[in-house]
Amino acid sequence: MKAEDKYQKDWLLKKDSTLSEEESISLDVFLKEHPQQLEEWEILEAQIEGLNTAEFIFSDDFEFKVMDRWKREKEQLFDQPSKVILYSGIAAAVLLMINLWVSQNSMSIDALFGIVDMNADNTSLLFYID
Amino acid sequence: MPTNQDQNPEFELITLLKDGKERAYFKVLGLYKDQVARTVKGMLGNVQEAEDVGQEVFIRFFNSIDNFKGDAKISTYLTRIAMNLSLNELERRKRKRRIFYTGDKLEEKLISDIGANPIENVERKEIVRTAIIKLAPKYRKIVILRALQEYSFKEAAEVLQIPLGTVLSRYARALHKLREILKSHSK
Repeated sequence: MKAEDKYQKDWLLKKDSTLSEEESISLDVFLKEHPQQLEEWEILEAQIEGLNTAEFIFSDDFEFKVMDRWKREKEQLFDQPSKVILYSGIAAAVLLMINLWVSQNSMSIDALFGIVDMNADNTSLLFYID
Repeated sequence: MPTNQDQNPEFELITLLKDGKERAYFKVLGLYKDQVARTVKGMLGNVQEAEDVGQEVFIRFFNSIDNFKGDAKISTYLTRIAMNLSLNELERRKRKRRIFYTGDKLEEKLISDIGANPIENVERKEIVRTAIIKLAPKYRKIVILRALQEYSFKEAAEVLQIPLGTVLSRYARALHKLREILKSHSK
């Protein structure tokens, strides 16, 4: 590693007050001998100074948008297990419907209720479904 | 013997969050939304997607609150999520090969204004922000944390989960690259 790179890192750490005393002394000696280097580093850092005041903000109703979205995601009508049960139920209903149509040889609404051939003599639903 | 509450000043807030108290959620949003905005908008620019990503940051945090052990500060945790989601968004953009928001308009500003009277120019900040956006994400992340969030290098290393030496190297490199970008546009 070049000495300047090492000292630049030390200089950055010193700004955070996290440089050891020993390294700090070493850095000071280096900078005394190379004042132009310090100037160079300061110029580089000056490029981004003052950016913290920039208006990096979200909209005024940001909090409400987050809460709305979060609640919507949390309170979804069907969670995954419920969906499995729902789809299983729908599949069973379709199969039963086909079974009723086939067994009664009719694709009418009456067939869905199993009462195509229901009459005064036979009122048992189960008889027809069976 | 110190209690959890003594060790972590955010303990009460975290407890309220885990209890599902809505006011605690609003408090977190109020306390940290500007910080998340600086991270996300610093990474992505001032675009609508940045606000969407910002919302997602908090939703991820709220959804994972039961697993939050409090071993890091809420701000650190949120910044980490914000960085990761911003990087995902950048990847998505890259895949879609979309042109970044700055477009030609800001590019023109960058070219025309940078050489003029840089320090006093009100738009100077905007120009530099645009230049920051041109940095590779690994450099940009550190510049954002340092310049916008005012994190120490140690905190930045903690957030990014990389060694302190790497943070320092990348930051120093980023400053050089930034100068190159600004110079190339001032010609």
